[in-house]
Amino acid sequence: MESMERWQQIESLFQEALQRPAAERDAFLRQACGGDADLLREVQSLLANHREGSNTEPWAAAAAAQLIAAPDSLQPGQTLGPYQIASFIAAGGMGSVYRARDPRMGREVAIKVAAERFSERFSREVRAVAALNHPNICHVYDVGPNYLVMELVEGESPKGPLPLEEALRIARQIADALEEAHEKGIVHRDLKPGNIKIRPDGSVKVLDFGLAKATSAPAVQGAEDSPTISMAATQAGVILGTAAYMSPEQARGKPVDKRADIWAFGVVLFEMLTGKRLFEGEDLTETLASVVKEEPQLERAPAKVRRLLRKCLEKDPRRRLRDIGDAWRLLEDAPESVPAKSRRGIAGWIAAAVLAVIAAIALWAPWRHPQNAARIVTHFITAIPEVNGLPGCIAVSRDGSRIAFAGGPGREIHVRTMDQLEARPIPGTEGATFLSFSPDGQWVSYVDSAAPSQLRKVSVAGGPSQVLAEALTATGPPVENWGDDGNILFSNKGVLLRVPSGGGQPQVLATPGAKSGEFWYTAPQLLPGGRNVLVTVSKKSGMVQAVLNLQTGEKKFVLESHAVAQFANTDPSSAIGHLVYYDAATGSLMAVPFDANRLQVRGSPVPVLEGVQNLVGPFASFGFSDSGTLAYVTGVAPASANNTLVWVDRKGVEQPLPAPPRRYGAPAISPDGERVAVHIAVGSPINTKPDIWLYGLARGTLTRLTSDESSFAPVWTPDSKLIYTSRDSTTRDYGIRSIPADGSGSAAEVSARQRDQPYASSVSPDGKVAIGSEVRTGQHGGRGMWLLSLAEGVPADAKPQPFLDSQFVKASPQFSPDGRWVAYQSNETGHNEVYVVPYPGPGGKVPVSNEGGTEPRWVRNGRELFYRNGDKMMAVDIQTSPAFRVGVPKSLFELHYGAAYDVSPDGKRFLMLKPAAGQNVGSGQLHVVVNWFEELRRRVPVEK
Amino acid sequence: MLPNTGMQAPADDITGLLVSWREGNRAALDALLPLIQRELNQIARRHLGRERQNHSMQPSSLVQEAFLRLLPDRDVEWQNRAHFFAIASKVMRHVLVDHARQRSRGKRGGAAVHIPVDVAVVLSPEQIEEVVAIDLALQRLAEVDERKSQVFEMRFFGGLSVEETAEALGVAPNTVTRDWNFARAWLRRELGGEGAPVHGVHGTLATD
Repeated sequence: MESMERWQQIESLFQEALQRPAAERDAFLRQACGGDADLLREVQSLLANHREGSNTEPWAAAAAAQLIAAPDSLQPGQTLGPYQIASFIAAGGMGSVYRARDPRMGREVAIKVAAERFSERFSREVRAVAALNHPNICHVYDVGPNYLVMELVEGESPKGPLPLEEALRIARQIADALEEAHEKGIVHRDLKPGNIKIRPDGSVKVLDFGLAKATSAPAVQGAEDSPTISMAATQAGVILGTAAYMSPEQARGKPVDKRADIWAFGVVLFEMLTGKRLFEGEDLTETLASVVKEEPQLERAPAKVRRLLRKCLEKDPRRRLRDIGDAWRLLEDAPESVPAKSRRGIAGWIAAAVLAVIAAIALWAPWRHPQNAARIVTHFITAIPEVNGLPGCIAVSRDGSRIAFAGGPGREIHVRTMDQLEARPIPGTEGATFLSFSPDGQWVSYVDSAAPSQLRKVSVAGGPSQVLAEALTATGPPVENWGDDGNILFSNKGVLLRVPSGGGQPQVLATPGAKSGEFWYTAPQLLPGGRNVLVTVSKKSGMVQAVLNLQTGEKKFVLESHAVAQFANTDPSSAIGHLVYYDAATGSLMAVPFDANRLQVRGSPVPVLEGVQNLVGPFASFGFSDSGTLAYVTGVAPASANNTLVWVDRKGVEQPLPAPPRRYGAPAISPDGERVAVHIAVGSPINTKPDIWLYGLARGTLTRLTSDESSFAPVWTPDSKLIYTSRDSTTRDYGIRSIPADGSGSAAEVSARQRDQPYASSVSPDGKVAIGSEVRTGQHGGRGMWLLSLAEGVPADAKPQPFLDSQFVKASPQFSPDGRWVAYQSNETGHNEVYVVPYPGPGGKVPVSNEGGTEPRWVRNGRELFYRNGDKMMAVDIQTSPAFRVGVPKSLFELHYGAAYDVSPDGKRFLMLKPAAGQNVGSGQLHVVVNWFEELRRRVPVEK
Repeated sequence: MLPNTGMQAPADDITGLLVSWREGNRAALDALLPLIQRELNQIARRHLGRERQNHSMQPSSLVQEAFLRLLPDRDVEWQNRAHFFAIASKVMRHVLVDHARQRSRGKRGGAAVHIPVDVAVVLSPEQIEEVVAIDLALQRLAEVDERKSQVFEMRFFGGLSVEETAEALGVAPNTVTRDWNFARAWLRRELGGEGAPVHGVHGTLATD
């Protein structure tokens, strides 16, 4: 360690050297050090490690922020319900696992905390599992809103080879656990070494009973006779660690009963005895193929257990051992033969954790070489936040290990790594379109749709994004493609450009030929070999595909698809692949064989997939990898899906209104209860065109009130006018307007125009004040509430005044019927709750909801307040005199409806927006087809 | 009853604790850390959670916002501000290093308690090693030159800008830049030295 003076000497020389041009530094140092060789070396080595630029990508800070934000960041000493967190154990697929203490029972427990609230179904299933009480079953003690409390089990997973007696001792305890569960009708479904723990005292615990089922989504049925495997355990993360222990019927996606556990028991027993994998493959599909096809080689197991194993490992469940309790009768009294120990040096089982990681790596490695055996096409569905449906909203990394999509509540990029159960949002990427992975899968390039549009890239690990090119315009979609050569190809104003992935000056590759009637070029993609670029050209006759030779500039038209096409390299050995595109006319994904060497199609387009979501022009919501993994969503995005108006009474009984399905929003019942003001949107999600309509409840008629395609969120005034938000078509600013509901007059401005988008939500009973909230753009962001005078004589450009302004997000203010109170929602506790404050004050706020609440609505007698808590409709009694008092909230019903609603004047029923069934089939579900290229090759063969 | 989402500590408590810590009371730091961490957690969750509006979280604004929420008084003494930023950065460092250590241990198969296998990815395997290595090297740097280690900690783990760091420490931005350059070069050398691959253990310390 240097002395202080030495240290200062080193530093000052380092800093002084940095002031000088790099070329002069060495000479300077040599002179300054005056023969002190150590000093010279020290400063030189530091300088050698100096890098220009003071900004480091703050990935560490970003990662720390992410960790802090994660729901798993419970700290020791914090409590979760009654449990005291002791320490973090690990982050996992479902969420995070903690060691905690249950002070009531005086015991240590393990708590799995999920990011999301559990569904009713999940909670129900877990409660059934919690009812199991057996010494060999890890006890589930409790189910919280988003956490599971379990017995804390410490121990090792079994690793073979084990002596026969020891293996049987363990197996018997596993069997006892299964028998107990099966008797109660619970199937484990995911029995594997990782779910078995041998405690230091030798007792065995089986963990995670039934959780695989509880967490899985419904299976898809395999298509026709193709070797499609339809995953029962639908989530890839579950599959990975599980495939080798999955019964053939599970692997085929057939219904599963306790016999699947018996199969898994057989596999586990075999592996405990031999230390060898019974079924294996280089990856998931091979492993599953092995499970389905291969006859297990049981000779390695001791003779005593072979009959038992054979009965457990019958591929046909009907012939398999029915009851695990009968297993022991099948042990044979044959003379003990020596179990295979010849290769004892091999480590045997690896701990399940390591194994799954290896499986994940093996599984998603690029498959660039055609295999002798046909790969199994695997189709599964996984839950994701809804995609935004914008062009290019899905991309798959080249090796198929990551799927990126834009969507969710924040509309940002999410990356789902296939060995994870959940997709992670990348903060700061809101409004992303046209996603494309870097060749190594570590980056996603995208087009920021916010003005001015920019081509950006962001690390899949998060952190700040980087601008690669500015000022993209919508003249021709800027589809981009990240080439092997480290350049990103994209189009801007119809011109093809190339920009280095590190950023830099874009270089023009090709300009559309106006003389030959070409409008724009888009969707450039470097073809194998790196010389040719596939491009979609928009011409008067429609969209066609051309191949541009980058060296000669030659252009060859190859396909008239009337769509944007991508090349799928389905057979890298021959470079004869497929062009894939979405055909808007038939609503199908089409494929046609294409020879990337000779640059010509080799057959006719064939529809290969239907139901892919398509919202904007020729772009559908799908993407595929070089390895052949296809990802897509089906249906129509909620933003453009119709809904219907329904009455729902206090018991949750629903009665549809005779109104046609439309994109209704913000329904408001008139003071006399006879009409409903509502906005109806048309247009695409990125260019929504709403107008205000009136619906007559008596006759079921819809009448249009505004027709400027930019009016929304109507609220009634006591004198039967409507005030609503309007957006100026040229300045794009927002303002509040007023219009007579009987159509007797035109709209008038009642507020100044502003950038921030205000929503009126209530008008005082005297009609003099409107109250609402606004989404704030600019530096501070967030959302706050405002008041706006509607009194006579107030100028039309009055500015809304902040109401209860703070840094918290406050919204949905509602005047009480007597005008003396305002109910609103605020997130000041960290999530939204409903509060009431006296109006105009003074006085403090009174909390109304107790477990989350949004969208308060008063009943017109002022004695009751409704609000929503997720899908629950809550009611709470209110007393205003002599003092303001709030009763205990009660839940009326729990049914899923869209945002915004209103209450009938008598408070007996609710006007809700019901998402139309069938339209959202794909919402929140990502379809993944592994080895999809296999299917393409089979269904769209190359014509010789 | 409102659910317990973490009581807000009154500003004067925080100030008191900061002053107390400055005066050498170690226990004050123990009391401060969870307060600040809870605040950071709430802010981060608000940004990342469902209620998020149209702005994304920058790590530095996380620390800044925590500061403004806990110490809304504008004329907070700069020493208190410095200490606050330092502690918040320390919290972030602690969280990250802790996580990296856990993951690093997990990789070696040491976890005896049953855990799901697909551990959440916040850091790449290289970053895990880097975080652990930086943490150790930074401890050594602190022994020689406390301020440089603090500048590095605030910038690297706390995500603070040069200006924010300078303001918090009450020094000129230029000083922060110089400290930052030196600390980076020093750490880079400590972590493997010149010549190691860019994407190696110390690759991200610089923006080359």
